[in-house]
Amino acid sequence: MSAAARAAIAVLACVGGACLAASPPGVVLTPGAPPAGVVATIGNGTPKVTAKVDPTAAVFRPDPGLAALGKRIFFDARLSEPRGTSCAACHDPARAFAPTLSPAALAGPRVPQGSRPGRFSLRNAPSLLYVRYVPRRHFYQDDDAPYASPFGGLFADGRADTLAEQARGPLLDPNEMNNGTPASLLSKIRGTELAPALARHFGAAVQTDPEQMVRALGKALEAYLQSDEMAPFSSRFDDYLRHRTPLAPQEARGLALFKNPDKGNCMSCHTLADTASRPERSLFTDFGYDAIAVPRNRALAANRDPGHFDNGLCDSARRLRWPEPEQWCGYIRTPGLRNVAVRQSFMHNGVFTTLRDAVAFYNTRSTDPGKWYRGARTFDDVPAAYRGNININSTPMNRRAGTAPAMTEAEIDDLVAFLRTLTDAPYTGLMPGAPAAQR
Amino acid sequence: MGNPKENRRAGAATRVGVGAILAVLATAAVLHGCGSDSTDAAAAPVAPATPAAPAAPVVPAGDAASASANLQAAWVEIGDSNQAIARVITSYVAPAAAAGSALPSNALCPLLTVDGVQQRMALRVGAGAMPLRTTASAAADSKPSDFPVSVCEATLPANAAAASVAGQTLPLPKAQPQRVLVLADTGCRLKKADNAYQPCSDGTAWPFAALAATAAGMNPDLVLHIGDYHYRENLCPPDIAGCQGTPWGYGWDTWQADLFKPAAALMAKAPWVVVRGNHEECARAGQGWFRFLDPRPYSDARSCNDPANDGNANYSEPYAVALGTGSQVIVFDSAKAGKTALPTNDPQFIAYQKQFQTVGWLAARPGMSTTLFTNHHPILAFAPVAGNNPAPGNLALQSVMSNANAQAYYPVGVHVALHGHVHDFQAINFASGHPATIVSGNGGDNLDVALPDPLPPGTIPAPGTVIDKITHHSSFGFVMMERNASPATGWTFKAYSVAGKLMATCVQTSNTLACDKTGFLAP
Repeated sequence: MSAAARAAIAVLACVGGACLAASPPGVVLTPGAPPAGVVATIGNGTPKVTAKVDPTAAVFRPDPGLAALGKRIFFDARLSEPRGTSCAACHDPARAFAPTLSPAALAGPRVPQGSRPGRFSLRNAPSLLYVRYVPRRHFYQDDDAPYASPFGGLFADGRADTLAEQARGPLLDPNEMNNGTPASLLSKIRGTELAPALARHFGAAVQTDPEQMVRALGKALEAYLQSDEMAPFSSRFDDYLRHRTPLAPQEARGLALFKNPDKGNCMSCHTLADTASRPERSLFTDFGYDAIAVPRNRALAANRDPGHFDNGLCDSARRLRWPEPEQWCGYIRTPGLRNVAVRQSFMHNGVFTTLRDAVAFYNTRSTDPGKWYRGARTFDDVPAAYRGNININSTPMNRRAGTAPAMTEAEIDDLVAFLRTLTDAPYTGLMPGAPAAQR
Repeated sequence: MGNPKENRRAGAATRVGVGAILAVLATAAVLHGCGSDSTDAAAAPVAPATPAAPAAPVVPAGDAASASANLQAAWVEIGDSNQAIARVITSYVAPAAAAGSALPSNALCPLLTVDGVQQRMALRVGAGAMPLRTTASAAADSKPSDFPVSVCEATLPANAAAASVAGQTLPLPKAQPQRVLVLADTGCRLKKADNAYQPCSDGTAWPFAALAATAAGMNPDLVLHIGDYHYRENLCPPDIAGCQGTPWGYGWDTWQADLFKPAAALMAKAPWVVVRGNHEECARAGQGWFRFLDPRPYSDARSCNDPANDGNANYSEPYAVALGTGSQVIVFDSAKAGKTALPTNDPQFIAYQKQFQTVGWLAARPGMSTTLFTNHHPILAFAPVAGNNPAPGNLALQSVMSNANAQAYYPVGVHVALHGHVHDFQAINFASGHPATIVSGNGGDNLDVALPDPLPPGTIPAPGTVIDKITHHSSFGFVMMERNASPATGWTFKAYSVAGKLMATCVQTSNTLACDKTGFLAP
């Protein structure tokens, strides 16, 4: 079923034994990068391109004035309903722009609280550091691959094509900043100094046209998120990349496990290039999607309904009219792992509270599913109809129940030790167990 | 026999006859090599070592072409008529030729010693820089293919007992090889379009050299490489140390780094049977394939130098290599096979259709108890896809095969199929009577994900097939075929890790395969 649809995507640009050369105009997938050749268009506009995204090709030169305005907007707590919740409330600059969870969130669903007490985001919030490298949505197919695969797009389900488009989501989400409609947001902004500031960049119409105002807000926020302060590359791992500053033995073992296709195999999705001095090659994501079936977070309000499931990419696929969108149900975009060690909850639904659990889940999801699904059905957060989409192939998630896992407990510790080296310098004190001097 | 100085002192009683045979065979092997074929010197007498023994074809002191320093690679491969072809790659440049005079082209080639008789090898193709042609990469990421080495060859007599060149002993084919190494997909991936830069200098990340050493230590009698020797297609970015300094493109330097250097021990150990992979199609490493490995005589028309000839050079006639005692392996070139079923009027369909007729004839040879078929792309095996049912076998080949043989796919007489392309190991026994199928594509390039374990119900590689059992893994490794002890026929296939750990043993009988383990094999 899904294979047929994937094949359909694969052959759109191929006739007989040969694929047509890229001829249509290219598409720029990351700012400043050369246009990628387009060999086909999937659904209502998603390009299938001739080359995988190369983050080192991106060039970020946002208008400094616009980036500064975007930064003001980012921290402006007036832009919520009720007021008091800025973008920074969920993307805490003191925590690598990842959420610092409120006591209510920590005691409850472990996802950020919105502007209204008791209302929580439907998903966990990512760190916004390095988000500028996430490319626009596209498909790519290696010539050895049987099918094309989707990459890029913002949010865990890729529903936004750009950062500017993404900004609309939390501003209007009733569980987040709760601004209702673009019109109500406009009326709120019109009373602030932000309106004329935005008008200077985008024209007077932004002060009267709600949609134009929302787009302007998005562009300003995008400029800020594309600024260099959002990509510090100041971790100990970056020192290792740039200067070969040695990792501690346990961290080095963790790095080896991270790369080892028979062990952690993490780099098959969380890509890195540990011999490359340019840290952009080590963003720890390939921007692709995977269905790993993390356990259901029963503390999420929406999950009180047993019939509710967060199906991830397939909701976007339907809207984008990709062939057989159900094949993408359960797929979530692979997040980068930089600064993962300062997070307070893990996975797209916040189900885990420790990094060690998040790592250990991969190791024993298949060998000891009872440990993770706790009496519930295995893969309990994916509808039965879509369980065929779950990745049961990739090491270490491919072993049969009851068999030995790919890694030992000590090796899990090694992996965690390595992941802690990905923490940018300002945040190392936030890592659990960090020396007091770093806090 | 490996020392050329010793060779000079060898007796001469039967040398002339053997030498003459060598000369004829070597001359026959030359087609359109660089330089002047009309001045071919393969049969030219070699200056005697001493005036007292003028008839002795011994190496003159200081035969420059035979200096071991010139020798970049030496091996023996089995040709399309079961002949053993000695090949060398030499960096030797004759001084006079360098000055522009027309020396006989074979003067570039070293002396080959067979059973004490020395004979100069024939030039297969001389050094040359090929102009830039269209490649699989953008023009900006391509470059002309430079081959500053010459390739020499000679067909060895079937009864040769010993052979050497430039001090290096050449392995000779055995009438009944007992151990056949099977490997594929061995190169180090440098591919800009995939943003994939395998750390070629890291023996863990690209373990082909270690794998070759382990396999060589098992003393194979024959090596079967099922394609994709070459992966270094694009420039390593300057900031990546792991592939820094690595050659790229399709010239000699890339072939040396991807194959001839890491595989040198294996080439010294046993003759090779070479199968062409999709990385050796004309727009990729096809030029090197024809210069170095293709068992047929070299010709401009099938050199991949001119894209206008790709339609011809991307296909090769199948042939069979005898493995002794009723066993043979049929070699098939699927380098350019696409991913989709072919309409019957497609030129590729027509080309493959004709070639599968040949496969049928070869498989029907009388006296064969075990016929193996080998090509690069799996036909009745899988391509794993994370989060989805495995993709089936190659649909282009299936469409041709089913047109000829319906859902039997293979012609009568094929018992086993051996493939690469998918970077894992698979051993499949069918309940539907199809040939047992083995994939051994885990030879060094980046691995694929594993197949799901167990396979989802009803998962099949092609309509009409029914899988009885499948054994698989996704670690680096290789397969060793061992001949079943008489009176049994057939082979036992053993899957090994890079370090030589035995992971599974599969005994073949006719078209069935019985493995001691099923499902996923943990490393």
